[in-house]
Amino acid sequence: MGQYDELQILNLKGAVRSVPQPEAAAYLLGCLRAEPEPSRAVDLDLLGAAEDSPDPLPLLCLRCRVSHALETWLLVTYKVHHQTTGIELAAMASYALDDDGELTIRTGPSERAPFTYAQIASLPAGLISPFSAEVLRSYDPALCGLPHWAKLKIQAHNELKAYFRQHGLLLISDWALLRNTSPTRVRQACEQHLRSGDTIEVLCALHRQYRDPYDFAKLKHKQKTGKASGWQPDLSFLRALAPDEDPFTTSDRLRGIAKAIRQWMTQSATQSLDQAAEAGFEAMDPASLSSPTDDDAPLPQELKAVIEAALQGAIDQHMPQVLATLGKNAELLRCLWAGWAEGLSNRPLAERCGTSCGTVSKKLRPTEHANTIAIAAALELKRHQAFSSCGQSVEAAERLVEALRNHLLEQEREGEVAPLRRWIQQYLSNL
Amino acid sequence: MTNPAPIDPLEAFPMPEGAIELDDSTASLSARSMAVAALQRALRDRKLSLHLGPETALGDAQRLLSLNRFGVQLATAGVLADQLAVDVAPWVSEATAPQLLLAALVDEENAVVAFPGVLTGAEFIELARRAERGDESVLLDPLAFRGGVERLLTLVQMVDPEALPRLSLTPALQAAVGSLVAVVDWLRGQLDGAFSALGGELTPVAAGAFRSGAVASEAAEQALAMLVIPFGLSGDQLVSGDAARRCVRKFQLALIPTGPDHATHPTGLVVRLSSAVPGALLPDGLQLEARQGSHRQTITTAMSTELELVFQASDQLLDVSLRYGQAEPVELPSLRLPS
Repeated sequence: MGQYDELQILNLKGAVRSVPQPEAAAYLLGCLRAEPEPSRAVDLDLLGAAEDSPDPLPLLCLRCRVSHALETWLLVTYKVHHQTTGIELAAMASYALDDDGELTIRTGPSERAPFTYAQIASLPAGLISPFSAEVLRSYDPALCGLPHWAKLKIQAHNELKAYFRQHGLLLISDWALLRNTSPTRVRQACEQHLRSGDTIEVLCALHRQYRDPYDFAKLKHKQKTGKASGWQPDLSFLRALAPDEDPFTTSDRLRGIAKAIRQWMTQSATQSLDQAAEAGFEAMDPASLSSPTDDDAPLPQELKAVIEAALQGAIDQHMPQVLATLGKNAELLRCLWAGWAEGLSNRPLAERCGTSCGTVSKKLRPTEHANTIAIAAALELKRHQAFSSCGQSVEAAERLVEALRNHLLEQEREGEVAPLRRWIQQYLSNL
Repeated sequence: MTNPAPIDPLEAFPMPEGAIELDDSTASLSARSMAVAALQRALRDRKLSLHLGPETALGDAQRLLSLNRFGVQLATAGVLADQLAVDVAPWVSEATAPQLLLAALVDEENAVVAFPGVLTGAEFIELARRAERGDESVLLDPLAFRGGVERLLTLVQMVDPEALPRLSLTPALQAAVGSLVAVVDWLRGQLDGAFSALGGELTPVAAGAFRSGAVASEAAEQALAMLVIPFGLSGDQLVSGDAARRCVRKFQLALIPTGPDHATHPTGLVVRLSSAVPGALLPDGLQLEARQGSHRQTITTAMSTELELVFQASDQLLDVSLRYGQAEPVELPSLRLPS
C-alpha cells in the first residue's frame, strides 16, 4: 500500500512519483509489527504519537498519508479539466506535493529544526512549506478524516486557486457551495446522489440551519484575517449548528451534502453542454431593423452606407486603444489578435502564442469589444430617423445592438472575412 | 435514497463567461462591494465614462445604484447559486422602484464576479408574480437574468430613461381589485380613488370627443360622461397612469355611461379600447373582457383600431378586465349600473 511509508513527490522532471521512506517503514514495523491498512484509527494513533514525542517519524508517516490524499485530488481534478482548460499536473503538484521527506524543516533563511509536530505547531501563522506540514498542523480530528482535511486545505490554497483562475477554473469550497445552494436543489441532489443512513429530511433540515451561522462566521473570518477564503467550520460552529449531535457527524453530513451537490452539478453541466451543442444561432441584418413603414427612411443601400459609416467610426475609435497595450503583454496580445483575425479558435491560438486557453479567453474578449463598438455605432445611428425608435423601446435597442455586433463578428457570405477580423488584419499589417 | 451510478464530482468549476477577476485588495469586501468594484472595472475596461452613484454609498445594500441616470437595483448571490434573493423593499412603490435589476454572482473566495444579466422593471414584475417568496424577498433563478453586463450597458446608453418606467410590485392595478364604484357618481364629477390610482380621468363630453373612428356607435352618441384610463405596454406588461404615458405602445380604455339627454341615471355603458393616437392600430392580442352576472363578453384585438363592448343597466355588477399575453390581467373595480 505505502500510504504511510511512501511519499508522492513532484520530481525535477515535472513528474509525480512514489518515493519510499525506509525510516517511516521501519517506524511502522517497530510500532505496529506490520504495514497498516490506511484508516482513521491509524491516523489518530500516529497523530497522538507525533504530538506526544519529539520523534519526527510518526509525523513523516502522516506526511506520506497526506501526500497520497493530495495526489488523488490532483489527479481527479487534472483528469476532468486538463482537456478543456490546459491545466498541467506538474504545475498543480508544485503547490501541493513539495514534501521531499527531509526530517528537518526550514525555520528561517538558513535555519533548520527537526520536522516534529511541536516544531510545526510553533511556526508563525501563514502558509508554511512543505504544504503537508500546513495540512497537519491545522488538522483537528474532531472535524473530519485526515485525507478529507488535506482535500479541504488544497481547495483553499490561494496560489493554486490563482493558477486555476488563469485557466478559467474556480475552486469553490464545500462551505461556500452549501451556502449558495437552494433548499430545492439540495433536496434534489441528496435524493439522486447521496448514499447515507440519514433521511433526506434530516439532511435538508441541517442545510436550512446552515446559512445564517455561515454568514456570521464568514464575516468574522473576514474581519479577523482580511481574507474571504480559508474559512473552515470549527467545533463551536458545528455544535451550534446541531447541538444534539456529535460535531464529527455534523461535519460528515455537511460534506456528504456538498458532495451530492457537486455530483448533481456535474451531471447538469454535462447535460447543458449537450444542449448547447445542439443549439443554433441566426445572425440578423442590421438594415432589417429600421422602420419599414417610415416614408422618409432612406433606401436600403443608403441605409447600409449609414450603418457601415457608423460601424467604421466606432471601430476606429475603440480598437486602436485595445491593440495599443504596452508592456510585457504587448507581444502576446498582438500574436493573439493576429491569430484571431485569421480565424483561429482558442486552442490553436494558445498553442501558436505559447499560452493557455484561459489566457486567450481573458485577453481577447472579441464579443465584448464587438458589443462596445456596436453600442457606440448604435448611439450614432439613433440620431438617424430610421433608428430613432431605439430610444423608446428596449426591444428595438437590443435588436439593433445585437444585429450590429453579429454583423461585426460574422462573415456575411462564404469566403468573406467578418468586418472586425478584416479591420484588425488591415490595422496590424500597417503597423 | 437511490443508489445511482457514481459520478466523479467536479472539484473545480468553469469560470462563467465574461467573469471579472478582482485584485487581492478586494478580499475583505462584502459581496455587494465586490460586485460594485466589478461593475466599475467593466466601465473602465470599456472606457465608458458613465456616472455611477451614489458615490458615498455604493456599498450600501439598501440603496439603489444610479448608472447614467437609471435607477439600478443590485442583487447578489454566490457564483454557483441557483437562487437569487431580490429585496422587494424598493418595489413597494413607483417612487422608489428601480428601472433595472442587475444580478451579480460573486465568488468571494476567488474574488470573481459574474453578471448573468439584467431585468427591466416590467420583466422583474412579470417574474415576481410567479416566483417563490422569501423573507422580504423574491427568489429568482439567476438564469432568468439575461444579457450579462453588456445588456446593462446597452440599455443605460441606448434607451431613454423615461422609456423604462419605475413599476411597483403592489401597483394600483392590484389595489383596484375588490372595490365597488357607482357609475352614477361620474355624472356628478366624482371619481373613485381606485380609478384615480389607475390614472383615470373624467373628461368633458363634447360631441364626438370620444370618437376614435369615423363612425361612433349610436350608444356612444348618448354619452353622459366619460372616464378615460391610459394604458400601455412596457415589454409584455400592462401598465397604467404615468407609466403608460411613457410607453411607445399606448392606448386608452374609455368607460362611457350613456342615456337620454340630461338623464340623471345612465341606462347603459360603453366600454371602448382605442389607440392613444386616433385611428392607429392597437397591439394585437389585447383582450377585453366584461362580465355582468352570467353574461360574459370577450373580444381580442387583431389588426384592430378599437374594441367596443356595450352593456345595459342591470342589478348585476359589471366587472371589466384587460389582458395581454400571459401577464396578469388588469381588473377594474366592479361597477354598479342600476336599472
